[in-house]
Amino acid sequence: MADNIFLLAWGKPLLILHALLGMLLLGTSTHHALIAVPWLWGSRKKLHLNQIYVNVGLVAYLLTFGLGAVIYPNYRYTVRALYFDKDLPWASQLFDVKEHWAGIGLGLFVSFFVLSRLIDPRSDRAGLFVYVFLSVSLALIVWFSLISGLLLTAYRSI
Amino acid sequence: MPRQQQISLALCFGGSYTLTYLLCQLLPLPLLWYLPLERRWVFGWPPTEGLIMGWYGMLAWSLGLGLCCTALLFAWQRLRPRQNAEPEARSHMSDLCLMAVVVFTLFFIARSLMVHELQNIELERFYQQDQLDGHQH
Repeated sequence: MADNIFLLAWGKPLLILHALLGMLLLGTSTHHALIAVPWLWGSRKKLHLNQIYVNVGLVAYLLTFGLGAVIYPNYRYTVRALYFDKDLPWASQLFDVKEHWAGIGLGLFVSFFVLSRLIDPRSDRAGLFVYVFLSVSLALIVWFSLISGLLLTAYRSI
Repeated sequence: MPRQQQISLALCFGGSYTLTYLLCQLLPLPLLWYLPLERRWVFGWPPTEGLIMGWYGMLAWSLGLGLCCTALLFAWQRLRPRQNAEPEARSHMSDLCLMAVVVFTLFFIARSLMVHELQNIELERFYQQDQLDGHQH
């Protein structure tokens, strides 16, 4: 029955790739949030890095998200159904929050990417606040997802 | 298309996507369900037995409705009398709406999922016991 699970044999390499891309995403989203927040009080430093971080972040998010979606059935059975649900219910709940936050982050990242092409932090005071809000929110989602993912993997991985 | 209208479309997509995601949590909507052990998809209300995954269906709902709302706003922008600039108050309102929806949805999902009781899926009864045992060992 478990042999039916999609890409079962590729679970571990794909999980490692998923984690590595998540770290790249963590770096870009954190750096973007750190340079974007000071724009709110007039700083104009490192504006040239804005689009680079957003572009790399979008690609990293899509790849990380896609890989996560591919290995999710493997986790759902071999980790959650056979172990977490029975012995560590809090771990199942934590993963639920992670998966839904990451799912919401997908739509927000698309909006964030489009806004990065439209908003000029030098002149758009009105749109800048929501742009920085999205940057910080996405960074928090990525931090939470990576830390909870690593924690859960430390208990049991696919 | 004026830049402010493009910004409104981006905010509309983000807001409607997040709101749809929240509604999928709150309302018993029919979803696209994936059954990983049988490797097949089912559309409808949740199957009562077996190992099921509704996350892909929620994503599909959110992407679909997010795109529909954005397309509707785009059509409305094209049809309404042309304005030179978006009123600033409306722009601030759409920013605030998006931020409120995002904060509330993230908080609601975290709070509701961390306290909800997990369903005890009786896989052993639904699937063959010997195959389950074979995987565990």
